Amino acid sequence: MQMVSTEASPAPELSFAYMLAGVCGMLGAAAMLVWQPEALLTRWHPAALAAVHIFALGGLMPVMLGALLQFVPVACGLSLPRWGWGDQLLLAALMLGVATLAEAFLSGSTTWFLLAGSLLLTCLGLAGLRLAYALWQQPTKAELVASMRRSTWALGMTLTLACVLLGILTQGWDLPLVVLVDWHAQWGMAGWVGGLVASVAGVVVPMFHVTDAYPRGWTRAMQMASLLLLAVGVAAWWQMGDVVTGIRVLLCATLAGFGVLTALRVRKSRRGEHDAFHWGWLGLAVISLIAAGLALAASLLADPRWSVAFGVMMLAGFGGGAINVMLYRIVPFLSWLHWQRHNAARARLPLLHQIIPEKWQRVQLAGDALGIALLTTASFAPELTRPAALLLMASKLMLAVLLAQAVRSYRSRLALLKTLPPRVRT
Amino acid sequence: MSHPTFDQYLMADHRACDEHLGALRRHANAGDWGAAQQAFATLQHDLLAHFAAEEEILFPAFETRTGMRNGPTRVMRMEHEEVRFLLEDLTEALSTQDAEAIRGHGEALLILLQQHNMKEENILYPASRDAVGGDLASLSEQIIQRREAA
Repeated sequence: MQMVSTEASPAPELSFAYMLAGVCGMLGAAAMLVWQPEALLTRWHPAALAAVHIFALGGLMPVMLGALLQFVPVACGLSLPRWGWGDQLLLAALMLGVATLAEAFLSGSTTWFLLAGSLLLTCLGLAGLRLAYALWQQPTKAELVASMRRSTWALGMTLTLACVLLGILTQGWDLPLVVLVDWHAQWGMAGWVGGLVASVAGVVVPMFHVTDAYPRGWTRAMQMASLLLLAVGVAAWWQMGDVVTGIRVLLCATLAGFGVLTALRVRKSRRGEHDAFHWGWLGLAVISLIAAGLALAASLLADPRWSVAFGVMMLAGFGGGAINVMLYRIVPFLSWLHWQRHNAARARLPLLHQIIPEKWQRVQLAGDALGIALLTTASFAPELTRPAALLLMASKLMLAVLLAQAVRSYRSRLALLKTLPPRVRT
Repeated sequence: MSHPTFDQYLMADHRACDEHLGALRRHANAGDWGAAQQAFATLQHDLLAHFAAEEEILFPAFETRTGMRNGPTRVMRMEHEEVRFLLEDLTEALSTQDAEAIRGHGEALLILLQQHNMKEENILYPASRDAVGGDLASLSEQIIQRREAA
């Protein structure tokens, strides 16, 4: 029997480093749009491509990888193999690769593309293989593990397609660029990010909001979505326009279904709190519904601005929003848990909602929501791009400061707790 | 009607405890201290009885059959101890009618319980079912009896 360790959560310092780097990556993507606000005029603008990849690979990816270091042992009982300094090196190489890729898009230089591709494909390939190793080792039948495996497949597809696109851009391979770019984006956003968020939501929403579970039909819809992603790519390759549109409509319905099911559950939460976590998840449900509407418009209408609006809402709203909300649970809880485990003195610890003050969580989440709404609108009103990006920058900067303060407090309190004598029980 | 197996029973017990914790927080936020006290008493009783059934029956059965005494059951026992500390903190917060402290300790308890339950439900219970094989019915009966006797 492959036996589990069910070990206590690994020390959180490494996860915190990945998470802080990711927030800085999102900040960098917003800064790119402040610098080049014309980026949103078309999805093919070099600055748009740079900003998208900075946000996805330098923002969402490090936070997801950092969170998975903690989540995988809980979900499937096997820790991701630790690589010591290699983990820090992986993060540094990932962020360097993101900067290099941004420069490649801005300059169009083949050399930069090759350098960025080598760095990123190595880092993400290693991270993906490590995740796959843990997920496929454990013969669990839990749906969470099955859905995380599907997301890992999607990451593999995204990376494979990135290799092909690199071949087109640097070696002049004669392949249909637009079809493959669409396929790459669909697997990355819908398969990897969307799949992982939906997998985690399937557990987090019922357990942490104390709600009914998602219906069994939803599990089947999630399994079907992976097949739809495969089918839409094949149909696009063979230029079957109506089939592509039909499948895209089904994918929109899946996203809308996620929004409705999540909203219904969070609204009826029996957790007994209407705090930032509650409103954040309700906001994410609304974002899913809006994104589904924008995706439907992009599929049915000729105006390419709908595609840009959908991309902004999906990437910054759905992906960025989910991560933003979860960070406000993960960082305080991990800090508290590891303090508690070194608290032999039974000293009084800060309350969970005081570690990152809830008032500031609400302010930051409200700023983020406004920034996302404005940036999505900017797809149709380009004059809004710069103010929207500035607002998004401010909200991500605030998130970075709040997290950095929490991490500093974690370190100093942990050091203090380790020096205190244990309380003697009488 | 067939009797539930231990994993079905204990998983339903997890959900019931979540409901008691939610009730405690709702009543404390509303300032209804009598109802909060009652919800807490039920929560504390049920959690401690659940832990007793696991620590006295399930874990030893798993350890005997697999020979693993320093594996998952050690971590589960450690997490039970962390929950007991939080129950002490909640007792103190209730005695001073400190709604803020109940919010904080209540949220910590919720997250701690959920990640603990996830490990049990996804990993330890299925592994225990595999380990006990044909003794599933009698083990389930013992666990349920111990849980309900408390």
